[in-house]
Amino acid sequence: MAEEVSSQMNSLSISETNPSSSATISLVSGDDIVFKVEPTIAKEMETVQSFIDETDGKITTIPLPNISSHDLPYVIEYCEKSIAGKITKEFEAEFVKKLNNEEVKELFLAANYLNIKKLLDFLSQVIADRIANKSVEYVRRYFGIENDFTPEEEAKLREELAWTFTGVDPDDEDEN
Amino acid sequence: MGANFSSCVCDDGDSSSMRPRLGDIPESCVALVLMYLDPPDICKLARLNRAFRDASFADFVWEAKLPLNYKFIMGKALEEDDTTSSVAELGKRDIYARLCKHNLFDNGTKVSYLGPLTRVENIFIKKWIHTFVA
Repeated sequence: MAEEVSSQMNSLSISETNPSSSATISLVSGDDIVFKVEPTIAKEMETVQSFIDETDGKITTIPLPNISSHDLPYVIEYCEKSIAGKITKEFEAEFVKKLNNEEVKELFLAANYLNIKKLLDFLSQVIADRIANKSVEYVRRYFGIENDFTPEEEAKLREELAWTFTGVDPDDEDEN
Repeated sequence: MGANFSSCVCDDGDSSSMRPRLGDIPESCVALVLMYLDPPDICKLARLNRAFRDASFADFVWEAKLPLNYKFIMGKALEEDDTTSSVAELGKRDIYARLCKHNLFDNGTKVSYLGPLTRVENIFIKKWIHTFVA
């Protein structure tokens, strides 16, 4: 699949030797769906823009193998609002209301991968709100991560962090 | 590391396991999230896994939690401790931890401390330390 996309890219780079500045950019999701966006949108995505810059704008099809066609439209929507200067508290509240925990996490990783600072900051805050005051077990499940500590490391950590646990309620497991 | 499997346990029951994925949350991203949390949460979540532990040491996570004049207070505290280490050598988290202990100043006539680690009091005491030393 990756090869398919890159060969497509090569042919494009040959055929489009002198692209006009208004040429749309094609973003190809990991599941091979093409999203055509304005160059201004691509500018919001630093990773994409630096890719375009490196090839002097000759390449206009960018494969994004790590991002699904489910998540990419959200990213594009946010970037569009951002360019239009319409990122308001209301928009952000509506935007995040549509997203379940898994989607927030995937978008967060996508924002990191694409290097979209505003979206990354916004989602950091959203995730922080969703995991604040939750138990360690809850947050492990939230991120789908496993405890990779050895018992020794865990004991050491507890000792190091002893100063923080006075006055803090013990973990309420499975608190929601 | 089995992360994708356990993520299916998430209570939203989203069947997204077939989607392309970026994998585990990198440490730099974890630190961004921790920045928005309070010290008790940051320290609690350091117990999640290695990425969270390492992210919880990041200076920029703690920078905003320290009182504005922490260098001054910490300098005083270190004098009392009679140690050779300087403020510049310490990580921001260690400075925060040290400021949570009672610090006696000026031959024990004045005292300051950060915490206990609850939200309201913490903010209050942060301000209080500021006024006190100013």
